[in-house]
Amino acid sequence: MNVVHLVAISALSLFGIGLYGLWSGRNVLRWILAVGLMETGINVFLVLTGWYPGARVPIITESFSTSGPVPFLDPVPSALVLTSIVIGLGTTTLALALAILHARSHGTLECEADPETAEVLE
Amino acid sequence: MNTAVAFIAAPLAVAFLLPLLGSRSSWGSRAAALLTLLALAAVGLLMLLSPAFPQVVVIGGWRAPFGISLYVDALSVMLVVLFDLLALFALWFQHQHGQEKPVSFDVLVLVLSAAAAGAVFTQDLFNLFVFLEITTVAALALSAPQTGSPRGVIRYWLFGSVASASMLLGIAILYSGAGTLNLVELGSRWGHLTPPVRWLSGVMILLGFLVKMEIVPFHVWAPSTYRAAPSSVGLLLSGVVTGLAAFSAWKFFALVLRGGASLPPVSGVFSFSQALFGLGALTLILGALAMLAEKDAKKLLAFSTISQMGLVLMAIALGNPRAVRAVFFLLFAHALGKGLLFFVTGLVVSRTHTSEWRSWRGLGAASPSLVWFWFLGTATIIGLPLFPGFWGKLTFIGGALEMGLWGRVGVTLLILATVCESVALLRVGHALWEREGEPSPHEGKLPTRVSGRFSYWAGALAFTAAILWMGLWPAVFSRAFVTAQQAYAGDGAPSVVRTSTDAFAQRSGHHSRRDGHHSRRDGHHSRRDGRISHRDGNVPSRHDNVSQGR
Repeated sequence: MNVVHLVAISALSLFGIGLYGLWSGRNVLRWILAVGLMETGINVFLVLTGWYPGARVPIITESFSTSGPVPFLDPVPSALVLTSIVIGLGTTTLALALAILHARSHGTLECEADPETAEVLE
Repeated sequence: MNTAVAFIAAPLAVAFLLPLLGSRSSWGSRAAALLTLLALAAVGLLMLLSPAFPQVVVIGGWRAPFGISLYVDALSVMLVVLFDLLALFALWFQHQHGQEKPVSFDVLVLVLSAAAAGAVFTQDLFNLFVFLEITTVAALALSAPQTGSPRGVIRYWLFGSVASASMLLGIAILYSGAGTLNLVELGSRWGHLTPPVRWLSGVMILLGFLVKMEIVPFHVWAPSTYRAAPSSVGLLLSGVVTGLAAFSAWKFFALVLRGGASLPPVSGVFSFSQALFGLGALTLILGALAMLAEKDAKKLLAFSTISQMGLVLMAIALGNPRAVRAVFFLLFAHALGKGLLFFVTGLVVSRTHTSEWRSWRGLGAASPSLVWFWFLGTATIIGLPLFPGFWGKLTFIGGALEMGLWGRVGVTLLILATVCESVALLRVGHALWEREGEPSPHEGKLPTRVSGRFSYWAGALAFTAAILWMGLWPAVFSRAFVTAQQAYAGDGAPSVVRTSTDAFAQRSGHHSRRDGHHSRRDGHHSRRDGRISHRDGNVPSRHDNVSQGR
């Protein structure tokens, strides 16, 4: 059991906890939190894909210039994680706005399955 | 810098400048949004007239597989023009006939069109994911009701979030195995990946696409979302968002999974093609049956979209050259026909305030042209001969019949589904047309004419022109479709975007010996040969690109 396994397991459990949270309730806030957990799990997993033992942070400093080839972390996953965090922020904000709309029109955050009641507007 | 980048950059720039004009939609903000889309569509049409395809745009000068490249050919420009025109039309319709919306409506439509252009052009899997996410977010915000229950939209958000989470996890797994995100590179490395990586990433990424394509059983979000959204948004959801998801799914399937070259023997890498074909067939037939039972016109159109996307998925899964051309034809035909149907629906709903089509009875007496446009849209979707859908379905049948038993079953289902779809759509048209029987419930309450304004004729005739053009003179379209299909298929087994290397070589005057040798060997190194081809068998491994950092 090394660090990689530990991180991978925690990432996948976050994803699993999120999935369970989606399945086990009908509260909009609970769903938002669950989706957030899933996204966090994936982000941790993404960071992990760029890591391997002994690698250094991919920032060029003076100590690199002399010592021949040095193993870097793969910087691409870090860039992906940044993007994915930003997307997550956007969708979470949007979902919170929807939750507010839901609370205003139904007086509760429990989302029952009757979308048929929506009015038809142009 | 290239004009193709303008399709992504210009709408985004205008979208973020619009709120400066005030939070209410004003004359100026409407004109700015409409003119941007109109100008982009015009630029796209001009690009189609010049023969400079295909072009490869390397973003930021980083050659693939390290950077992101855009692949611009006739097909992608046509798709982008189609999406821009649909967005233009949706905006125009909302301004002329819909309820007043805040300026955010214009902003979101512009963002949607920028993201759609990006997703059509990009050759990078993560970039594709990001653009699809942006379209989903824009579509979510567009379809959220300003008053009333948002439950339908919350369901859309939930499905969309799970879909994108699954897709992102799939991308992470794929990247951990292959070490690249370039679609074509992924395609060339796919065969070397271990089976668990292939299965997990393939299933999870495709799952994301299927949810966005409204494939049964992941379609549950669609009907209620369409019902609660204004018709202009319904038009965008079905023509742009769903069509884009289908095109992206095809791109992933063709470039990374390298298509199912043939169906009956398990082809390519897995039997994914068969599973997808089955799901598509199920969607096609269930969507069409649900249309028969539907009382609400907007949900009926949603089920029609679902059914059409099932057909598109079947064509994607077949993957032979004809089926691929059928995918393109169907996407165009569906977007045009469904656009016209949503246009009529929107007009009627804006007057009657109900989307129950049975209570639309008698409207046709006041404005017969409305009924004619409904029938024109219906003919386009169901594929009456010499209408766009006809070419799509004919090409599909040609492709399916090459595939033995599976294909024949598919064709049978297609015919059954088309019958159901025709009955369902014609019934609505008939209800509009009906003059006899009990008096219309709108007697005396309705303005006598629903139609008759300039904006009405401008919009309806634009759609009619496009439909007639594609139906009567499909040669322009099929030429672009054949070129694109051949480019994406390549001729050798591992066909990869040479995009990258060639564009890089031209930019810096650098031409590596390996690449030169490779081109000489297969004798098609012209950048304009319309072929997406492999740059080199000897791709750098992950650890090579690690040392690139220095």
